[in-house]
Amino acid sequence: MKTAFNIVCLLSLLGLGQPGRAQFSPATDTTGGKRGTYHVVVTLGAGIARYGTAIGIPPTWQQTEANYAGTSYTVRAMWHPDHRFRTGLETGLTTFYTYKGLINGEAASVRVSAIPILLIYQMPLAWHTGTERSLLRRVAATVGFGAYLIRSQFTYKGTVNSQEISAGWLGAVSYTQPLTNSLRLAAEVRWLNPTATRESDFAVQAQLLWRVLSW
Amino acid sequence: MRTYLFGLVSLLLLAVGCRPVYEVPAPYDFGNKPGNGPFSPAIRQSMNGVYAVAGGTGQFGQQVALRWSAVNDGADSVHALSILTGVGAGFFNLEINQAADSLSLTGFWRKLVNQDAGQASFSLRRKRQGQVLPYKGPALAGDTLVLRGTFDTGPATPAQPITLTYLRPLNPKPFEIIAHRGGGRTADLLGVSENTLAILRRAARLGATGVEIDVRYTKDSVPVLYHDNRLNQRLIQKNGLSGGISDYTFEQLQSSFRLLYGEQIPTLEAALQTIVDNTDLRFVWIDSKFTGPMNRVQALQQRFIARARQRGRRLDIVIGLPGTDAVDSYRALSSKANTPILCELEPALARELGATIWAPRWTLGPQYDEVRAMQAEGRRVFVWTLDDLPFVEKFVAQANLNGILSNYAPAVAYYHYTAP
Repeated sequence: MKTAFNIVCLLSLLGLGQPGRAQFSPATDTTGGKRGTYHVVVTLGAGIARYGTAIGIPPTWQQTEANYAGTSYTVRAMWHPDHRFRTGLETGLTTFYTYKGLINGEAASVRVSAIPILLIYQMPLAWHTGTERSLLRRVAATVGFGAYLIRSQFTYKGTVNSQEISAGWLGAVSYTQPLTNSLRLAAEVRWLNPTATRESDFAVQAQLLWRVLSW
Repeated sequence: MRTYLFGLVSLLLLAVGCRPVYEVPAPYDFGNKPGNGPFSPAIRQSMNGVYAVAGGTGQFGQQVALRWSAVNDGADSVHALSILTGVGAGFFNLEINQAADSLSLTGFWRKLVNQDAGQASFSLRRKRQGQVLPYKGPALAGDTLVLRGTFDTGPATPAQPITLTYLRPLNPKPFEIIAHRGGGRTADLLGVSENTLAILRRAARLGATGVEIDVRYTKDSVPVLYHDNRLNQRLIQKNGLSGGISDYTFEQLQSSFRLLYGEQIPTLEAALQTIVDNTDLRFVWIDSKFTGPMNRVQALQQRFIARARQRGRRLDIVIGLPGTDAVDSYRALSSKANTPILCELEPALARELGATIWAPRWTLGPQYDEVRAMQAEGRRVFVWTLDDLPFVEKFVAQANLNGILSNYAPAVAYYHYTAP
């Protein structure tokens, strides 16, 4: 189990570049054969979002109203090994925007949301300060790569639900406050970017982290 | 710490900000004024031909083909001169300078394989016994037509000299130069979207004698022109919506979707009407990208064949069968009379279906024996979609085809018209 895990961690480290090289001066010596505890941490997050790109309301629509604000929900499962580099998977739901208006005097609306399906890499910043006493050890930078399922609902003389897959990425920074031995509370600012469909969305979330498994 | 934060922010900005935007702004606005100006039909007719190039050979090659085309609106016609070059699918589009006393033309040049473009202007002269003289009327015996002009790259006022000297008539062999997606792809930055009424009106200026158009059905079974199986930002303006053409009714499409250059998605009916009423194109290839019954497309095909005939137009409208679904739809038609088809599948199937045209993909090679056999049976043979310029030259010169479908109609036209 641990061998496979080491291989996954090693491959992930190779891809991380500069932050990965910082692992050679960690607080825990993982090179001597004596390993620390591994954890699986599940994160549940909820917050508010603001769409960050032009939305393109059709020019034929009249009396249009656009709403760039939305909500953002996240479910994330992460492996926290005995060193600082973490990896995992994330999904959730973020409402991007809605707009409504009139077409020939008849009401019409569009709602757009996204479901991310991302491979996540995370690194707490403590490696930089070199001290476990710093608050920075509770600050983590997160990046994610993968796909977004962009869902849209169009209502005008009937309803059309459609969806499209877009490649994309995620960047986030979080602060995590311990509550108990297995629970943490975090605040995370996030930038979602489905690139193929040219979307971007900024979100702030409160997150509950639960250490569900340790070995 | 500051360095790392700076690096992180820079990476973020790089990722967000570096979306390439490609544009080839046409450095010239066509006035599209109807009328001949000083270019009478006889003068225009005499100008069609192959010309030697002096000056600008690096940009446009040693020789070019000149051909007039027209867009008709009722009794009015807007004439344009196309100069088709053998370099980078290049072409000039020139309009009559109606304000000038002399026989002069202004416009732009462009290459489809890259973003090279610029303005150009020409005036028509005649050469007699080595002397270049002003020209006012049809050429006399012993005259050689000469176009003297200037061109430049980008929005600069043209200053580089270029001279075109008449060599010989255009190759008269019957041959269809079929422009893909109604005349050209949106991706080729022609200033209008593919599969629109606007590109159909422009197709002849790109050297095309015919067009291929892609037909799909809306949810309420209206045949419309659209190439991709998904509505996507490659072809439409962002509106948050996705899905396929068949997910939306025609009214929903018209109200809420605009193609990349702002056009509406046209119906097949409007497209065929534009071709018959406004262009001199002589061939239409309806690519059956739809699933389901073919009878609506067949009815439009028959209606516009009859309309073209009434107007004295020579126009072939064929339904293309690109796969087995389309073949099944064709077989299911209750009557196949007056329904010319083009088969893209194997020769045996083309024979069995009674296709008037066999159109294999060009990557299968020249297929000399099959081409000869098909032509001996009275069928024409086209290939699709041939954009590789060296192969365009080879296929035009050696494959003895009846037509080529290409995204680079100017290149096909150049190699065809300049063939000895």
